[in-house]
Amino acid sequence: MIEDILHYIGMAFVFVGSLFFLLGTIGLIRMPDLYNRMQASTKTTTLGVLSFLVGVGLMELQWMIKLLIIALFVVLTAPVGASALARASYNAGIKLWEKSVVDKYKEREEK
Amino acid sequence: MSSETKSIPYLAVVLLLIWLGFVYQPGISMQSFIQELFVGIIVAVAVTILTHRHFEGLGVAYFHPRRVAYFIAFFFVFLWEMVKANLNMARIVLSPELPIKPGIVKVSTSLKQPAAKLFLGNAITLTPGTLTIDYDDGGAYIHWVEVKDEDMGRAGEIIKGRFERLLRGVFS
Repeated sequence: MIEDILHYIGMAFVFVGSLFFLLGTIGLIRMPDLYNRMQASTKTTTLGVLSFLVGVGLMELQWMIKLLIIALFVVLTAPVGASALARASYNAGIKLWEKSVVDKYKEREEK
Repeated sequence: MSSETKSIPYLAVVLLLIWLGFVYQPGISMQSFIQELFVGIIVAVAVTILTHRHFEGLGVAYFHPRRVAYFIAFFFVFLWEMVKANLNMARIVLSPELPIKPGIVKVSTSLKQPAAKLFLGNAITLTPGTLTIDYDDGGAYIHWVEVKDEDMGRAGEIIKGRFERLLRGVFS
């Protein structure tokens, strides 16, 4: 009985996770420049993966410990990767969107 | 030097615990568990010997109840902010006129420890509309989807929110 309930809760988590993936993909297509695209994809995929892992963990309880460790690694490494990519892209000369309002990072380089 | 050497055994223990969390399954036989434990100890000690000089920290002092309490508070604030960030991003990408106003702002931080800065940067990256790009001595450069304020102090208030205070409780 309880396993059935957990199974359905897990399915709901997996559904929410895939919904976030969909939103991230839409953001990836619609956003105007690299930095905004990375914003859309980093956040939504991180929460999507978390939701997925927790959902699968609820469906198969004996995997829960492993899945939580994987979730921890994803949360620790995904934003570091995003920062490194954004920084490398900036230093490689990829421009901000022309309607961007402020660029303090450029001012730093001019000093 | 002394804090460095003190933290070596803790690194090995943490690595071993992560490994055991991975290999443990309900109903695993004693024999194979001992095998896994043996391999885990060898690998944990080897990795510790190779990498310990890149880790600096307080070792067991991190488990002081005050730090643990702050960290738990930080964790739940972080989860909540992450959900908010995703709903915010969903609102932006689904609205037809794409209401964005991007830019890179600078915020200062008073956190000193590299680990604290890492956690703050990660938290900023995963919370509403912000992406940490770089740190320098004065603070962090942050790409912001909807720039509400270009001023360093007020932007910092909005972006860092409660994170910095909680992290100072954890690391100082």
